[in-house]
Amino acid sequence: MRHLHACLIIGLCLPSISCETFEDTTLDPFRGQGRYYTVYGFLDVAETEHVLRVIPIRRTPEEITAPSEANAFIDAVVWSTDLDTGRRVGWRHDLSQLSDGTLAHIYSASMRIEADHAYRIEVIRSDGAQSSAVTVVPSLSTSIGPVVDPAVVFQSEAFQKVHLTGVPRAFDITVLYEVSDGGVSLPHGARVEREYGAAGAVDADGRWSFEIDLSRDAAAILETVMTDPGVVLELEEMGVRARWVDEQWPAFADRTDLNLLGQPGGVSNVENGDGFVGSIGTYTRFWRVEDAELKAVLGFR
Amino acid sequence: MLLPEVYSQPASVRGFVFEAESRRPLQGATIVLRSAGEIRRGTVTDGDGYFILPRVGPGSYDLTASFVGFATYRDLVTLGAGEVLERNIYLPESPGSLDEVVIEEQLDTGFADVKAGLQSVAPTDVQRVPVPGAGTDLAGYLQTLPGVVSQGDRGGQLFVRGGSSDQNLALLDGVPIYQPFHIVSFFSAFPEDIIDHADIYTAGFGAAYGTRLSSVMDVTARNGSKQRFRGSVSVAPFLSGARIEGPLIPDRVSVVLSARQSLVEEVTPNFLGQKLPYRFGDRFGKIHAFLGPRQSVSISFLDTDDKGDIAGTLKTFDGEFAPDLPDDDPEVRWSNRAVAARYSMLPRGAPLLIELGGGHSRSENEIGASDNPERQATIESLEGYLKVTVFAGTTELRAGGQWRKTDVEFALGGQFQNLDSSAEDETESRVFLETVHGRAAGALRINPGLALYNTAGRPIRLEPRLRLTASPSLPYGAHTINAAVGLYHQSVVGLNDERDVGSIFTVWVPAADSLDLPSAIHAVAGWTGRFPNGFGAAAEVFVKEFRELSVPEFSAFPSFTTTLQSADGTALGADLRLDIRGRPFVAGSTFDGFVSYTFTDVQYRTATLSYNPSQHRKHQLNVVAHTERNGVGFTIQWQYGSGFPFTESAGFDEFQVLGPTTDVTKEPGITRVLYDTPFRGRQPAYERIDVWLDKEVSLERARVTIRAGIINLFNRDNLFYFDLFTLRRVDQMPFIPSVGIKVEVL
Repeated sequence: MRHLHACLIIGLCLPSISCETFEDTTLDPFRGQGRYYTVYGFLDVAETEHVLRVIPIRRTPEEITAPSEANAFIDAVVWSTDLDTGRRVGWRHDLSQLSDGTLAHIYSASMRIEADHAYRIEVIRSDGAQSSAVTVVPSLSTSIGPVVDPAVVFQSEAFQKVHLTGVPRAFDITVLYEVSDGGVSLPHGARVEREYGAAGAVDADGRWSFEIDLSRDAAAILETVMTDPGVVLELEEMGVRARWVDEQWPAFADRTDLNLLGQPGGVSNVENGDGFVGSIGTYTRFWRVEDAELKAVLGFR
Repeated sequence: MLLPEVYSQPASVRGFVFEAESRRPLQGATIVLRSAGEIRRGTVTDGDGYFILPRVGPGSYDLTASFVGFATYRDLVTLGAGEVLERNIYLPESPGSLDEVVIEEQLDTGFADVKAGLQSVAPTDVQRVPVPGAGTDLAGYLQTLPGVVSQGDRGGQLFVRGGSSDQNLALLDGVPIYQPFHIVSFFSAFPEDIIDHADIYTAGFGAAYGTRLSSVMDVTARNGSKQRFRGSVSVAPFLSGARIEGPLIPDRVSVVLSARQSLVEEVTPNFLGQKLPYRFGDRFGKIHAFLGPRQSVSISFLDTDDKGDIAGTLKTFDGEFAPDLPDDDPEVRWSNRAVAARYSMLPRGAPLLIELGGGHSRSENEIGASDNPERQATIESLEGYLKVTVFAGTTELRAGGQWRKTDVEFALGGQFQNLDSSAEDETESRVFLETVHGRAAGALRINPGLALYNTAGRPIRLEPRLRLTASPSLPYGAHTINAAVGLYHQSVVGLNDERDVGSIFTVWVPAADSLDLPSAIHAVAGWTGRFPNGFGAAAEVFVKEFRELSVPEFSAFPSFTTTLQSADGTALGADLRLDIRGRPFVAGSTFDGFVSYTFTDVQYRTATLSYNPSQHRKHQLNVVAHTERNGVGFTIQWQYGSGFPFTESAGFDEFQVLGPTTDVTKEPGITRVLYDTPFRGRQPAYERIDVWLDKEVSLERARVTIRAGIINLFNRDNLFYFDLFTLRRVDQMPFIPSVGIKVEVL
């Protein structure tokens, strides 16, 4: 019986000693592999030069202070592919100095971006590992034209609501006014642009809605457009030019709490990587102004 | 209506059992009434030494009271119809007395006795697990219990069967202690020699307890000797202390005072070349008085303080010592101060025990420079309770009420989980009714209970509880099968940065009004067996379902700034414990030890993901083996725990707030850790072997204990903390030899 007890103790101790000897105590925190590059940037139909910032996901933070540093070298090539036409474009690498004095890997390409087209951006390492993102440039075809509410005139002040269908978020709105003086001083008429920035919000029907301050704009137009005294300008057309981001972008941009971005489900459209590649569309539409009474209130004919 | 029925019962015998010399109550003493040589009634004393034998028919009986190590008390008593015989019994010590009668209802003290999540711990149990120094400590023993997980040997937090540390209720003489463990996890705020007994509920606690979701540690401090002064002094690098106790008024009023203080901060840096920048200590006092033959009152006081730089000695990512790394981890400090009062009374002639108590507890927690802390949090509570126990036939009814007002205050120097600075309060009240020792037909005992839990501004919650116990007759050994279920709520919650198991800063706050009250359902079932020749075994399975927990969202930045999200959780597992006591061993020695294994799986579920939280430890194994010969003892302890979850990293990148007007060629981003799915990685396993050599020398009026030992015998690099942002690691205790001496005046 005593031998049994001795064996019991030895049996209990031996496994522990063996574990002490052989089990690994190191911790490699970088086992979450499969993500290679972080990419930020966007394609813009209004531009022909496009840029992306590419950050290799490394075991040390990227802070490049001189071109001679190891992190100043990047093992990556960037290609974009128009998925509708198959056109493939290689992007140029450059080290760009940021506003804080550090350097960043910037890739650029010259090309025209087509609305409604989908583009895939691929960042490829020499061993074939790649991060990629697909962005669909905002569609013009889904924008069936603005819905313009009747103007509201109250105590000589006139306002008009405009609803843009198919625009999830406009960030740069300009209202356009086409005026003429019957060829007296403006043989081709004049276009006046009034900036509205990111005015507006999504309405109950999912449209981007904003309000035009017609009286304020009219006063500015009458002050800006020079014609002969005594000539009353004719307001022929009004228009709106809106620039807006693709459908994925608002979800990313709304996560303004930086501390939540590690939460799974935090938005990134980069496969095997992180960051965001978006695209920007531009929408311009005009409509004739037929309301003579409104024109009169605004000082036009 | 109750009284006439009670008085119509047959006679009863009740009273207290004390140690004759010290006048300390004896818990677990066996009281037996025999008639014609056969046992007619039997019970055991509770934590106050109280017993009652109800429903005894009129007649003459042999009354005996016995306890291991004490001389047996015998008396012939004659009971008249309806008589309530009161008898206070004083048992003198008698080392040769080992013939204690075992009664079915005997309390579970040690020896593999785990009953549906309950383990009652006596000082003799605590003494089975040595800790650095010459004494022992409840914390060291708790970490060997099935289902109890510690962060390791530092940090001062325990996780019980899948619950987080703030879901544990620690009570000292009925009053909560909010940070019950010291920063070095070998030590609790309760020295071994002030503990009378502790009831540890790892799941399925009864209706008398509430306000927490996971576990209860109910510690009752012992009373000082009412006959003569005695005390002890211990000196050891980790923790040195002194205790004195004695009569203020002989036989009526006693006092016990204890103080402990660490020296490890001064001793180890030069001795071992590693920093252990911890300073901690505790002071305890208790006055107990008999106001008469049926009334007693006690007042307890506890004061603790801890501080330290949790990082200690830093290592690089590769595990090399890194003395050049800036030690910029802030100092953490916490303290407890609590006062508890308790009055108990046995009304003359009525089979009742009335307990009235209350107290005040305050805990402060801060991080940063002592003169200008970065974050501070305070919790303070005032409470009172009334419990009435009615001994009605074979059923003991216990009813009571509890009221607690909690004030919290925090100044966090920046946002911490939606919080900045505030002062809030919460008032909780509970009433409960439960049966104790209820007995149904056959061997099945059913102990139902119900509590009503009320917090300001919320509907009253029902908390049903149920415990079942059966003692089937089997051919070999004594067996108990038991089960418990219950519903629990918690309205004051502690928020930690759960992304990081090394975080020990806790902010207590009332549960968010916008969320439902955090709740849990426990179900636990188990078997306990005792076998001849000192063998015992116990096995349990358990499940805890948590609802509406508050967990942080996961940030990509190394700050405490984060918002909360709601989560549900499930903890399930199984325990196994094997126990050997007092077996003859080789060369005339004796052998004593136990093995406990726990499997636990903890899953939290948020709206976006399911994960194992930071306290998830799938496998835990504890082995303690002790052999003794001629007063020299040798103990080896092996602890193994599978690795805690942690969030792996894909590496570093930068985050850029990308807008349609952002110029990415000019605007810098913010460096961040690119986290992988939260808690998908696993830290290396925790494993430690400690060895201890004890020598006890008994003198006429004194006992000297010398203990030498080694912590982490194989100097294993057990990970405590890894900072993904700075890529620095902090390890648990290295190889540390320890020696201590304790002198007790008996």
